Amino acid sequence: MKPSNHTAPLRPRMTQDASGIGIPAMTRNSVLLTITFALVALSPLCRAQSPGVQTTREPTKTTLVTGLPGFKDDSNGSLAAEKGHLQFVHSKNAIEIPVPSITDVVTGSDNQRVIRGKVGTVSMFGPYGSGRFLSLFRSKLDTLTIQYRDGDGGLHGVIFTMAVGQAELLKQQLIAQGAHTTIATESSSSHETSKLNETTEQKP
Amino acid sequence: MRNLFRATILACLVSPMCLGVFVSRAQEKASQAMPTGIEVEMVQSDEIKLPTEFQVALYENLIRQLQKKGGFKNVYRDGDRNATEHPGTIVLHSTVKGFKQGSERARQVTTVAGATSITVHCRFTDANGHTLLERDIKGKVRFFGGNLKATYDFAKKAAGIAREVSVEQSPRVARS
Repeated sequence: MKPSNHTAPLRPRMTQDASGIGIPAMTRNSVLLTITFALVALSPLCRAQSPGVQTTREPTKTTLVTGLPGFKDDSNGSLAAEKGHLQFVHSKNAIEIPVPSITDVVTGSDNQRVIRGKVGTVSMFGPYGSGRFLSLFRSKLDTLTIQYRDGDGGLHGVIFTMAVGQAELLKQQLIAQGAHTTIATESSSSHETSKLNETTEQKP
Repeated sequence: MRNLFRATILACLVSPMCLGVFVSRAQEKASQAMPTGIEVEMVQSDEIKLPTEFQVALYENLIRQLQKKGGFKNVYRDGDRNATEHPGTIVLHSTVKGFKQGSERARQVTTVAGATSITVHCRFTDANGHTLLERDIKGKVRFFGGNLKATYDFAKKAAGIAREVSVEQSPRVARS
């Protein structure tokens, strides 16, 4: 058995160069610099891969206000724009609208009573004006109105409501997939205004 | 006595059959007399600035109510190619003449304020473009329901007037 040499001098952990900076610290700095440069260099590629509109998103929870054949008004479901179709699913029923047949997509805003449904209706008749007081508490929501033509050329209109901010995203997705609109989205309108500014600047 | 009993049973069996035949013939006659269909054009709002959801809700509720109680065999949507195949189709043109957007919150809190009202000018024309009937129809919501309920109120009234038109037109169709 070889006895361990406890008395052997330990190798110094930190060696210093001429400038006095520790070598591990230099390594760390160089690694950090490399990562930073790599991130800066790759950022344009990342931007190119993610255009303004996400192509795959989770279905949006919506309420159908009116318009879809085969579905009752005020039925809750999920709405998704994928593979050139706008799909609404409610329990086991589903309907797909081809995106190119959509002639108009318009977003809007609305609000609704926080306490709604059967409880909301009962609370309306609460004593001492409590029902009226509860009506003051309201939540905002977005509306998405779609007009499309069926196979015979007949015009249909559908209205959905959804959480705030969802309608504009869906609209952008639909436009990216070939839907038409009479009111441009915020991003496209800002792009147009910037173009207009450029042209006005070019004028003497 | 036995003969009387047999005759009664026979009468009980035969009379519903005769009644059934009579009713089915009457229904056939009524369906023949009905105008073939109505084409509903999209609601126009050139003069009045109407939110798109109201425009669409007016159109969709109108079609639904006409299908329920308009008195027409077929209800065609704007641009439906099948409408041109039937010569007796009536066309409904609708233009928004007035719109006051109320507030659901104000209605629920105060009861008296915040009513929403829409006035639509409806014109029924035949296939040649001759006007059959023109009328201003008002839809409103005063107490309960969202603002879009005014469009439902309008649609119900419009379907009632369309029924008048279908009744007026049915003898002509039957004669022709």
